[in-house]
Amino acid sequence: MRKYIIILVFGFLTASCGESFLDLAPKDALSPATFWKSESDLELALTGCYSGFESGDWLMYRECGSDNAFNNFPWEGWTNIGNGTLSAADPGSSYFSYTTIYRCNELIANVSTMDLEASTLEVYEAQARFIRAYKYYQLVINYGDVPLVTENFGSPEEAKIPRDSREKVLTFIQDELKDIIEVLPEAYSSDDFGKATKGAAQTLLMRIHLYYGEYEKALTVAQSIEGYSLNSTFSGVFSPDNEQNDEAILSVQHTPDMYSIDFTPYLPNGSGGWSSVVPTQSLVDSYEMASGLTIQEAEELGQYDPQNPFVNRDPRLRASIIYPGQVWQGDVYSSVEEGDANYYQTADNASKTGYNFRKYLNYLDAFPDEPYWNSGLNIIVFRYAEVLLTIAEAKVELGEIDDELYAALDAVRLRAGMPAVDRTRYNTVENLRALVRNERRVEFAMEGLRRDDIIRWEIAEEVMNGPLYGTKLGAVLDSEQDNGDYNVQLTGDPIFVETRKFEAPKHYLLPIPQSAIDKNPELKPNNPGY
Amino acid sequence: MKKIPKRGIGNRCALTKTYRIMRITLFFLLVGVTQLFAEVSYAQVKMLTIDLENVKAETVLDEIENQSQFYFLYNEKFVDMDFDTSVKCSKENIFEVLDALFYGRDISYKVVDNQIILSKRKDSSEDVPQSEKIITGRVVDGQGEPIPGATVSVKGTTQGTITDVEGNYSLKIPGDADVLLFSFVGMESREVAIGDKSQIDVSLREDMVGLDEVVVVGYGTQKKVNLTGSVASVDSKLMENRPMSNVSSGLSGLLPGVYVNQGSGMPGGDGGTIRVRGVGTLNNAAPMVIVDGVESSMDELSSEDIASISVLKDAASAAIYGSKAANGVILITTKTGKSGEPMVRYSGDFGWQAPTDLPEYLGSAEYASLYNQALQVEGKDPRFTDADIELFRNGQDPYGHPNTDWLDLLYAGSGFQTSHNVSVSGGSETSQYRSSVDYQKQDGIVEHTGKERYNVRTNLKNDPYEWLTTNVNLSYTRQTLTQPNNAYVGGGLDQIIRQAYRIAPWIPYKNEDGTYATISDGNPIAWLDQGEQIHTKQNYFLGVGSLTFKIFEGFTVKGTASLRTYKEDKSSKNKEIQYNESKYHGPTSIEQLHVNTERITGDVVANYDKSVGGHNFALMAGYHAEAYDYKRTRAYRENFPSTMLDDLDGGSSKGMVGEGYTRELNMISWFGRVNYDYQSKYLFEANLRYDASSRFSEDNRWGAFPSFSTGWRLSEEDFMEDLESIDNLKLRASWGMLGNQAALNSYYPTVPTLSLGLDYPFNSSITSGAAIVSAKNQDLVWEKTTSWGIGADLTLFHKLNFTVDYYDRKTTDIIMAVPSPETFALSGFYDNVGEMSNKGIEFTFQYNDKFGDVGFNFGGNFAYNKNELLKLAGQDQIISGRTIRRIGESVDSFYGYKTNGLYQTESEIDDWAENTLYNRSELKPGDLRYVDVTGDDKVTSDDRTILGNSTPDFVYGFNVGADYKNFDFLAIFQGTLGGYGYMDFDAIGTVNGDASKPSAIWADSWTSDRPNTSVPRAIANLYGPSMPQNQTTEYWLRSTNYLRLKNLQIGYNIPKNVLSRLGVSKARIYYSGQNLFTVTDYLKGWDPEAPSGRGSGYPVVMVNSFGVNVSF
Repeated sequence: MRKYIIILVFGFLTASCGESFLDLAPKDALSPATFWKSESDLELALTGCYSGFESGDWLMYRECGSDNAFNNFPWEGWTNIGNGTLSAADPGSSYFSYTTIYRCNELIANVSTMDLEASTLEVYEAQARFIRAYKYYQLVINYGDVPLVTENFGSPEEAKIPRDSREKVLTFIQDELKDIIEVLPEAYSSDDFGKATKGAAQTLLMRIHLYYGEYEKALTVAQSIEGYSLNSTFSGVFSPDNEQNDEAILSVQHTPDMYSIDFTPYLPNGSGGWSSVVPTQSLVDSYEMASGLTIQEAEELGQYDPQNPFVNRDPRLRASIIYPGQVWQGDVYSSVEEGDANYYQTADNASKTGYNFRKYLNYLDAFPDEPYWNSGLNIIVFRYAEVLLTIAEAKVELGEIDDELYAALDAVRLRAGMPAVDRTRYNTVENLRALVRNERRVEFAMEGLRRDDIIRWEIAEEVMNGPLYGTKLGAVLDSEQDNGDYNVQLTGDPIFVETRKFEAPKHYLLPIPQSAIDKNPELKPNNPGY
Repeated sequence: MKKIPKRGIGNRCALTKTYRIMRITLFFLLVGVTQLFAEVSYAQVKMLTIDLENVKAETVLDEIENQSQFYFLYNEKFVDMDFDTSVKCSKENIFEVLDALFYGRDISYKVVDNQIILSKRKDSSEDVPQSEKIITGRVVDGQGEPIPGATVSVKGTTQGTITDVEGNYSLKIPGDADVLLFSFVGMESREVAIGDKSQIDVSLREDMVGLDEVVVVGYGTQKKVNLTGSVASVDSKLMENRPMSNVSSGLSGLLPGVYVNQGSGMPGGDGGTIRVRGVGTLNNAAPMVIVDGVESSMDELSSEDIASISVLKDAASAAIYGSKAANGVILITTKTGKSGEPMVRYSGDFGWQAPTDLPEYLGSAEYASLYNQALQVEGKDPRFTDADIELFRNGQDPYGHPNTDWLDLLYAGSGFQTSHNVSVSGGSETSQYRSSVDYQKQDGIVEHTGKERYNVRTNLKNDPYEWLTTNVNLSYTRQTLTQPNNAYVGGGLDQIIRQAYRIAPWIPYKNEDGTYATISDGNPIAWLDQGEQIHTKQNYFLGVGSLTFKIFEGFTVKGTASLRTYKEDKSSKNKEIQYNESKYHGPTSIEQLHVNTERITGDVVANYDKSVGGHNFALMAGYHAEAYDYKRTRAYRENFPSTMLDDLDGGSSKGMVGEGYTRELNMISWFGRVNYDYQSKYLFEANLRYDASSRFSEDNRWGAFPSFSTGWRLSEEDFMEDLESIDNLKLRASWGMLGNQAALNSYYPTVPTLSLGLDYPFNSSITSGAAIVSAKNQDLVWEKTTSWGIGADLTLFHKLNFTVDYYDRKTTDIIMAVPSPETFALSGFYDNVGEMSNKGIEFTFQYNDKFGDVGFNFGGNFAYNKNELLKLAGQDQIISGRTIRRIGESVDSFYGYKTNGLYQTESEIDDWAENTLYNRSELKPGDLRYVDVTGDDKVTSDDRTILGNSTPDFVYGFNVGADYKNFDFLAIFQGTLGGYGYMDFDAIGTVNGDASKPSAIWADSWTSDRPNTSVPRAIANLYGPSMPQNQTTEYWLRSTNYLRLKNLQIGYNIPKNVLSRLGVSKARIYYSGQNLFTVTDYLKGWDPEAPSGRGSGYPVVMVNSFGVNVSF
């Protein structure tokens, strides 16, 4: 009998394992079925939209797609964009992603179903729309025609849609921005610093108008941007203890450990960095003398010594670039001398141009022990100087050479420690255009604007073709300058870095990656030339 | 003898004869070990009480066995037990009971201790014809030991007897009898002509071909001859006495169609990668491992504890494991105790590991000249002067101009290893035990790398009642792995090896002032000098308990419960280093990782066996439920004030990290099996498993996995009877379907979720974010493998075994990430959209023989597999890195450019098809000539072709063994054909400054003075057109064909006369060598089993060991 009882027990155990035994769900993720109820849900979803919407690395690496910088490591995605060897199969860094757009679409679609106050919902929705517009701006400037997705798809098959025209997407972005400019607050409580403000939406709209040659509209929008002003010092804009300065309109937010930026790719070899993104000689040469003369002008006057080229230059050069003879983290940066940790041949990670960027790293100079791989420094997307230089550029292009134009330029230059524009020398559209363009280059070096500037000015084919050089080799001398740097004697040949090729108009746009076309043949044809 | 396992569960053809034979076997074993039983006659004192009415006589014998320690031994050919009887007795001794039982029957008995031998009552002398005579003699085994219970009979008659305890027999035979037949289970039968002899002594040889061998199959055991599916079992001889740091690697070369690749000798990381019949899926293709009936792993097992290993290769044999069995099932059982005196066994060994091969790099002087030369080709100034090079050469300036042998500094570990295993086994009739303690220690060939493992195991079996058997197997393993760490990026040894393979020889290990010299990434030996920094404590527990109820004759129900836990506690410290004045890596950090997994299973299995006439049925039905739980917790702190601290609390709370998650997976299954055979001649088997897994959505979670197989033993047919040389010939055919649910990394692939952790800081403080990031597909089901196969087994001359198998295995519904357009925006939309086929042939043979004192065996296996991709989520091909998946080709084939020698001149570069992958200025004489396959006079990415595959087409293994007197010898080889490997980066090396060095291959590089070489020019650019890294080229792809001596053993059994004085019953000393030599054309310095890539993995090792086995 006993054995039958035991078998009954087995039977019972067997039967008690019901179907619910098989219904399992993760315990570290939320269920969409119970989401979209409270404001805290909305906050979670909105933060998810901000997370990764722009990256400091994208902005800084982007310089390598221009004459400002060089990327030594092909696997990082910018070498081939810089030298023109990119192809659809090997497109380098790709912006072709709808991940953030998906999240924004999701929020925008669900807001209408939520039982919360309209004024609350509106602001959440407007931020998501801003982020979405920003992502479409990125897609359009890089790829031209792109699929416009404002409602998410249910399956991969449905998502195989063709590209929409650039005009259609641009119109969408502009309409969106115009709408939300009315909704977004001018500022948030300090706890919410970093969210998209009205000013951010205005600046984006302004930039798009400028990029597509709508100077009048760009000017109007720029003039309407209020509540911002230049920070008192240039380097202070990029300082970790001054992130919420009045100049910052929108920046990628960082905080150590949780959402930090790693500066290893930018630091010199001698500081433990990789020198992935390094300035070119061409960028260095674009900095004026402190007097306001270009180096060519100064050289003719004997005020510029090509063998000791870093003396008496625009203070922004020293604030933006580490050059030979400069004291960096207590040591003399000596990329021109063999045996130095930063000598271009010492290691893969030594800068191949003999220069490193300094702008965002500046604070690490005084604190070399700071964990540079875990920095909380914000990286700027929009700042007020861009608004001022847009006013200046729009006015030049519109032929409105007036006080407002000069005032905008002067404000930027004076703040940097440069003299005001010599109005007698710069009085034509022609030479003002050159000045404004150069001003943008030196002011925003390492901030990711240069590539789009040279493309829209259609000068990329000039400045991105031919050999790319780094510093001349030579020696760092023992004699010190007033600013603490050491004099150099660069008597050698310039470092030849690579030969670049830029075909217009092919290279104005990046190719849609072949992998994306493979997954969605509807995207064909690719951009011309690819 | 109460509980001889009459047949294993699932043994379909257990004839009464077998049953009796098994009794005899056990009798033999018992007599062998427990001669000392019962000084006072047990038969006199043991009192029996029996009350049975109208039962079979056998039942009475069973009852006597149940009540006592008596065993009955008889041969049913001679003793007719097929009669009904009634016995009623109270406290009577065995003689009284047997006298009553056999009263008036033709049966006599003889009681020897507790063995009772039944035989046919001798005919009275009046009936004996005059011509009769009596033959006496002795039956012994090869060692001269007596064989009790052996059958001696007159050929062609039912006349016969069995031998007594001393192996003696006495048999009356008719005068016209001419041949005597001697047989005993496990021994080869022998026929002896009688002639006019009156005494015939014979010695029986061990059966070499194992026709009676029983193998473990899913939920049971089966006689090998009755198998209809494809099951490979490891001959335990080939696994014994081999110091094996991981059981999986010990399987190399032993099983056809089971390829074991051991790509690393890292202590604790040296397990082999096992593939059964090729790569069956794009996902996890590892076979399921079952230990004592429960899903487990091989990592924790000591080879000394293993009783048997079998591999279920085809769907027919594996279908009983359903949705987890698509890639084959490895079944392992551990040793159990046997009734009798306690037996203590010790085995121990010690040995040393050394790399099988190491890459060679050029020294400072050679490198410096090569570097100068490469720079000059590019129009750059040379870096070193002739004086520098001279100093490198003469070593007069060891700090300024050193020639550092970094590999020598790296591989400075002792490589010492030792293991010890003590086991005690024994038991009574009703309860058997075996317990073992195992210890293993391994010091790596890199200092501070090592493993220490403790294992205890106890297997207990009890038969408290005639109707109940209980089993408990408990095993606990604790393994501690140690590793150094690197201050550069962390993560352990990999980066240390990598940097040692790239740091230039002209960088000194230490500067003159005692500080470390560095390159930008640091100094690998400086990291090693920091000592052990990563400690991984792994705790494995496996407890299996079962109750088997015998409900009635032939019907049993077995309930099994198991708990398996794995706990890992990994502490990774990374000490800060101030190498020298200017170079620092830090700060000190500690990461603690805890992983805890549990699997609880419950099984109920019912078995019913029935034989009617020659028809034998076995039915099995079962239920299985399991709950799997995974939990991971990680914590991290940095900025420790001292490198000596080991606990998290010593670090700064700033920047600390805490994270963790759990995963669960539950399953419910029903399964059943039917076996039928007619006279062991026609065999049939059908399986069905019905599985449900929590991984899949409610509508798709149940799946049925059927299989059918059949066999025909031609050798049992009458028409084959005359073919004496054929002992066994069997044809097999099978079809079945299996599942693979381990294809998914995700535990919840169908549950839509919003992922957390998509955070973003506002005002510098982090804010939680959430979003849907991965797509879920409600329609997802498991992968299915449908296979069919045919095979044949042949045994000839009692010496030769052959097995041949052909299979065709098709995997459908392979789970793949569907290429989702970017506009879909979610990652991981998985769907059942891949298909793959594997077809192959396997062949095994085994030859065992004995020539006088020399025993000899030779075995081999050979397998060919052809893999083909049939469907790829609607795409023709998917290229990823160096490999391609293309429909119609083998999975993950190397994809790149064909090359054809080197450019010799500039004009040749212009004449050759234009290499558009590089600027013209980058191409120079001495570079590889890429072949223009498409014929458009340009080399573009379209010119890539399939160059080969890393998985070999042919895998073979063979073993040779011999023994002579007390010496024995065994060699096991494994080899492959048709595979390729591709080494790049630091493995090949480059002339690119301090953080690189050229491997010895570059010594023969092209120069204008040395144009007749196949090695391209050395170039000061990692990504040059002739370098292996940027493009995948035929030139750098090398065949991994190899033949390797996996194991060599030479043993010596210490003679018994020496041992008996020491109280030792058996002792063997041996030498064992692993990976002793390899014949291969692979890239010099690299092991053909090691993975392709930059070569920063721990080298494959050879091991030389000495060991001893002692039984008391």
